[in-house]
Amino acid sequence: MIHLYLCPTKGGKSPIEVERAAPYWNSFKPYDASKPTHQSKAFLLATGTQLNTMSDLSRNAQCVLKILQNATDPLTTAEILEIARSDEYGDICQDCAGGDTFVIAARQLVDVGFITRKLGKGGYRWQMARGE
Amino acid sequence: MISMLEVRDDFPVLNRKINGRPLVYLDSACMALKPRQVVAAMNEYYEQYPACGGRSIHKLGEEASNAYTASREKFARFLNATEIEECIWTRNATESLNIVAACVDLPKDAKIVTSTLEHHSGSLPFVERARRDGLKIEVVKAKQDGTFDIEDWKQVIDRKTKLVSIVHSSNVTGTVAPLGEIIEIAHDRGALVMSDDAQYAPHHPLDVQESDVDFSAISVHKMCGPTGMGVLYGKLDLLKSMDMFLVGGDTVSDVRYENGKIIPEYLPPPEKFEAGLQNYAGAIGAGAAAEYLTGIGMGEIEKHERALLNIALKDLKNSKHIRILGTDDIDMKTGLVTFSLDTVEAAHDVAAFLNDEYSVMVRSGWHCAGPFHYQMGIKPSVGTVRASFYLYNNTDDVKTFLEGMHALIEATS
Repeated sequence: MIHLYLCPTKGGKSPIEVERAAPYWNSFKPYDASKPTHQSKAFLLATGTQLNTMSDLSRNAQCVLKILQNATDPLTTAEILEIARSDEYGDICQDCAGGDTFVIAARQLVDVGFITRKLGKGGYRWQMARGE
Repeated sequence: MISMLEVRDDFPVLNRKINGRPLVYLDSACMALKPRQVVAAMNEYYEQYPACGGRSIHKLGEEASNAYTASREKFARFLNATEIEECIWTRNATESLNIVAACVDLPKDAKIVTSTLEHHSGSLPFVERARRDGLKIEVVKAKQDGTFDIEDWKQVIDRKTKLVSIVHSSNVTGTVAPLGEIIEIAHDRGALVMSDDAQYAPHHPLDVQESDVDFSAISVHKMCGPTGMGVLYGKLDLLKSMDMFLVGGDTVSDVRYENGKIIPEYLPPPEKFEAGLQNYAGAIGAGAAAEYLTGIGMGEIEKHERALLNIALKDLKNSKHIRILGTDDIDMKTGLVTFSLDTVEAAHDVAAFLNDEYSVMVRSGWHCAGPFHYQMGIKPSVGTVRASFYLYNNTDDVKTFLEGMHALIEATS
């Protein structure tokens, strides 16, 4: 017997049907912590899911993407955090001064292939992925 | 040294490999790992007697009440409190600090004293109390190495001072404050002392009777216990004299309706501070954590952490690229080291590199201690890196961490 469990995506859009074998609690996984909040780019492409609009991303991810889209050169982590705290980004970038969640969001954007980072003198430098 | 084979086996997460590497967890100052014993105690509640404690008279309710009370007793023993009623369950140390800041009785011209080394949770509740009641608040500046000059405390704590909030062990520098001396000065001048023991209690023997501290705030999640649990210790007469923080169910002995009015009669501590349905599983887990640590021995844990810290400090100090925050005198430190690196601008980059390349997990940022970072001239966007050790870490963990640090310095120089 197969039970179907409706797992709403963030924002309550498009529930994903998850197959669960009976007894359903044997395979019950309320949350796969190894997965980033947003599905991988490969998964999205494979399933035909579109992720074209900024609003599909978390607020922190939108913040980092907007900063990098507006940058002419790769930015250091500290530069991203400084820009995030400027008035220009005040509406979209909201985190404590330490910027922990911006960095987490940036790392997840690397995981899904939207931005890249490179280690060099002084630390990591972040930029938009080619073709984005 | 504690037998690592035995202790590490209690922590299932240490069996994980991430990116093919064993997990090296050096972020216990933020969140300690959980031993099987604590998880089992909480599971037992959920599986065997998941009922209301102190309310329902049926069998499950009785068992829940018994376990809940037994946990408070275990925690009282952990602190060496005089009475078990002196241990109030809270959500975290922050709530414990807020209860004292908001509810302790202070005269209109009272002064509150705190320091630049406090976690935001140790300063802001008192800043807001001072603002609410128009009280004076004075801040003692920590020295550059994170220690204090006791003369500064003697100067600032005067006869008008009625409350002192001091971090016992800093979450940034790991330095242990001269709490005994501060309590003596404060009591001599008629002030109460609130000790933020969030970082101290998990790593050192704590005896509230011996220290004579008036209040102590503890985060259970930093001492191998569940998240969302904290403890406020307070001397019983002081707790009795305080206003309630939250009121409602479970805080009252009677609520009458007379002449069109609702008239409450509140219970004594601890119930007067524990409004509403409690986190029974969390409290039971907290008791199990206290029992677990006591079983190993807090003195042994302290010694073990300092041995690991010594290895780390010796190596880090040899690097010209590393700046360590706080004293390197391990006898006055909790088992953590916080530092910055001149070859890497942002502390987050250090943490990311160690995580991604070595599965070493450290904390980066400003550690909810803005004032001390500003005092040290460190911008929030740059921050610092903190590696913290606990009973389940071993020398291999420290070696992997140091290996990662050397590789990072080489890659970024």
